[in-house]
Amino acid sequence: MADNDQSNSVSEPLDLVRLSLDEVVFVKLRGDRELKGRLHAYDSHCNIVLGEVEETIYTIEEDDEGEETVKTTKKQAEMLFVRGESFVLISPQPPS
Amino acid sequence: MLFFSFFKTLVNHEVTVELKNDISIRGTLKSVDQYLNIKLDDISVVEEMKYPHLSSVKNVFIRGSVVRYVHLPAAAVDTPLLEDATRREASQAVAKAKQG
Amino acid sequence: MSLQAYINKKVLIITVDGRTLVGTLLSCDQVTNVLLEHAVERVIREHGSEQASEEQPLGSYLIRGDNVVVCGLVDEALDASIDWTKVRGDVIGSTKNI
Repeated sequence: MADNDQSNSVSEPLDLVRLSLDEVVFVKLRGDRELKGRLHAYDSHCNIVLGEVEETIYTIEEDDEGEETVKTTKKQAEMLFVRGESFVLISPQPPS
Repeated sequence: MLFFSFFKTLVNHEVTVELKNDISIRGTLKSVDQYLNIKLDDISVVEEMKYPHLSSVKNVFIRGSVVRYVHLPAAAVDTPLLEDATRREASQAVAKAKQG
Repeated sequence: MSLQAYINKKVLIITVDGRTLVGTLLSCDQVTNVLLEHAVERVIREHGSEQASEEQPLGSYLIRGDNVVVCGLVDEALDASIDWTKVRGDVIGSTKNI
């Protein structure tokens, strides 16, 4: 195993996040929420800071006949601190 | 410690804290502690018609564990500095893990 | 920091299960355990409800820290100027599992 300088390799899960610093990432949160934004900071609790954020919230709405449809709400934020407890996953590629 | 230090640089800036119960509280950041508990001054609830419960409260302590987001003023954040601090903290964490 | 600055003052606490409690903060600690004296639960009815919003006296209450969402310092003059029986609002949701 190559040791010493591992600054460009992934040996631990959070190394992936380190390599995504200053890149646009896709983040999935609890409560059917997703974020897309530029990653500026993270820590070992998976607290993160994202810039130029687009948030997508999925809610289920029931119409008069009891038919359920998924509604998406989009919100923008210029800079967002996200608490690690809400964090489910992070990916360097937003799903297309 | 990274975010504790980070939030301390944002004291006296206007932020909006969105809680896990969907209430959003806007106010001036007055203090933060190691748990990322937050104190805001001159608060207003974003949807006050929906949540009038805090109408007579101007100064509030928010428990860190119930925070979903903190909306920050982008102009107050030095992003290259923040990214450097993140890399430094990450490499310190790796060094600590190797020591066992 | 903690809640030391609010000691012996009137505070309003929203709990994890969405209840609103008002009382005098007698003591608190590092993990936000709080002791309220003369606590009341402020029950705010939903918009369109005929029933008056009301306060239910609870006496002394010790609230465990992990049940606290926010603890606000009540502006007593402002609080007294509001007729809380007429105030209407949404039910506050839980902060659990989200």
